[in-house]
Amino acid sequence: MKLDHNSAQYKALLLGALCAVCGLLLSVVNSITAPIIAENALATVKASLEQIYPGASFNDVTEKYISQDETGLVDGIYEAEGKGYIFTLHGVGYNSNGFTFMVGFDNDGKVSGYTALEQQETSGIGARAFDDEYVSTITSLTSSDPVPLLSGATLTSTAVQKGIDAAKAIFNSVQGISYDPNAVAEEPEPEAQAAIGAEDFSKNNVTCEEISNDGTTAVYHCTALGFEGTNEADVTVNVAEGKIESIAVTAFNDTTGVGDAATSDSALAAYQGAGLADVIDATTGASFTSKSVRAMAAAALSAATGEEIGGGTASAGGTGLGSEDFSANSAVCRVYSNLDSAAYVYKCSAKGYEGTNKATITVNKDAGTVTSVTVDEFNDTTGVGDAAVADAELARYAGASLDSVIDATAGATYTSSSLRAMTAAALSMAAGN
Amino acid sequence: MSEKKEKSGGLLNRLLVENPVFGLYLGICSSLAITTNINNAIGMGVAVTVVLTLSNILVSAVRNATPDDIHIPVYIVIIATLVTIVGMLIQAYTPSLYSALGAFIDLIVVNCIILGRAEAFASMNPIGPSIADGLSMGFSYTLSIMAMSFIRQLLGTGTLSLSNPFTNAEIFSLRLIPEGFELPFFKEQFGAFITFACLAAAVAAYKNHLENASKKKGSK
Repeated sequence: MKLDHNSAQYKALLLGALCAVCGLLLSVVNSITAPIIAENALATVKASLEQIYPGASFNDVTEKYISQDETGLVDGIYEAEGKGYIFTLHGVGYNSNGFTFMVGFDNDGKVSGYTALEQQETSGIGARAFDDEYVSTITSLTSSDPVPLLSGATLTSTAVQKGIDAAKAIFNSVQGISYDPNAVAEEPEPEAQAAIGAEDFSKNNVTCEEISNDGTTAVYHCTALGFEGTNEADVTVNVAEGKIESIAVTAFNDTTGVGDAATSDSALAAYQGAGLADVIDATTGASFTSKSVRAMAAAALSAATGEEIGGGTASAGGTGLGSEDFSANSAVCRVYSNLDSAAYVYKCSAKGYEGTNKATITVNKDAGTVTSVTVDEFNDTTGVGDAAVADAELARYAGASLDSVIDATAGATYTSSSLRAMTAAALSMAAGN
Repeated sequence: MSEKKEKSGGLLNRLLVENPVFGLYLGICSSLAITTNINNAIGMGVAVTVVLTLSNILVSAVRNATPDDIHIPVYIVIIATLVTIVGMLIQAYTPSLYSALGAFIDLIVVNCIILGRAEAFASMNPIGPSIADGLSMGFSYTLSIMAMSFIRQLLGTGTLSLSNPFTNAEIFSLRLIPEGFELPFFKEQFGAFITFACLAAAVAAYKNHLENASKKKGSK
């Protein structure tokens, strides 16, 4: 039978045959490439997954179980054959860019691993949620246990907690483990807090100025570093009894919605009648601001009574890089490269004694600490300032964070100050501040 | 005019005057989008050349069996199949290229050059010349987007680099503009438009020059 090329049957047959041939071709190519593509996709995360289950063979089961996630925090779900499951998750803590992390459960329901994948939380604060200590807290849990928060890193650890809860929900339903999703972790034993007269306020740079003192009542205007800024308060002290009558916060420069919990009327009421020997509990979730208020209260009491307070005031102890005043150095940094997955590289410049010095500063992404400082241009006095740029001096910056105290190089204070200023600028850029 | 000269003029014509991107303004979308570095341009160029040549072969092969009123669906099915296959192969064997080119691989389906050559050439010519047409059009498309990406990568990042898409091993990387003197806007979309406009204007100027020259010759 010969079909006319213009007949409808011929056209239908031609298109049908063409589609059949094409479909066959596509399915052949797909069957060849699909496993390779799946393996490629897994290869990008495999290195991370192996941190929890070294040498295991992994299957990406995200598609299979992701629909059970009600939070939207779960990015990926991987099965380590015969061992357990790993969840990759994201959350937003203090840094609005958020962070990603993963948590693994073994087939018995124990947490087998917890580690950050990418995070830029503030070093020494939010980043503590990925420190060994908190990691060991998390890895001591099972999939039925509630996740405890980390005091002083509430924002970050809350985000971690929510993520792990989401992972637990899926894991437990897959494994058929029943648990109480609303259980709350027991408050970790609060560290026995010292009386405010004995607390260490050395990082708060507290200052107090006497405004009035009639012998019975004295009013002080105090300032102290909180989390990100300096808070100010007027403290009224009963001089004879050595007790606080009232405390009013006049300037609040920490995170609104977080730190201000420590400056609320009810939080401040706790200071009424307190003396240096009294313990004032930190405000949960606002540890840093709370500490700055306690520091001001203690300093005012100390000024009124003449009693020494523990940990010293502004003058005692070195000041961490993040708290030093480098305004005279006008340090600027720009990102030279952040392609390296482990480190940021910054090119910085800052005024030294007579000229502007330049340095390249490498910051470890995970730890938020300095890996190396190399001086690119030295424009201060040769024979004087260059003492601060000697290799041995530069080696002291390795491992420094914003909290580290780096002493000035004797006899080269200006140049040393320019280097510390650049280091502080690079670290604060790395921390996303 | 000697025959030799006509031939060389013909080659230059194919590359410039009949250049699909700057001469005929075909396939501009992808050439604006993916020309941020030479690697992408070569990858895209090779993918388009392969699809173009194969589609020319197949279209030419079925040209006598295809009734006129269903020729577009037939060509589209052929082209879409080829693009999907090429896309799957790229994703499987050169994942870095796949993530760089992204959706633009699938969009080869609607690249006007391919349907244009199927319509204008392969559907009327035997397989041999269709292969030649596919290769030469693909080649000049590749050269065009390489020229664009050369300019954009050089001015935008100050560095020229090339790497092996199968292993991601760098073949060479050369900084030609000192750091701090790059013009990052060449990496952006408007940099693409400006680069495209300058090159297209240059090709148009060359065309005008050719026309004027032939007019002068004619008047003599």
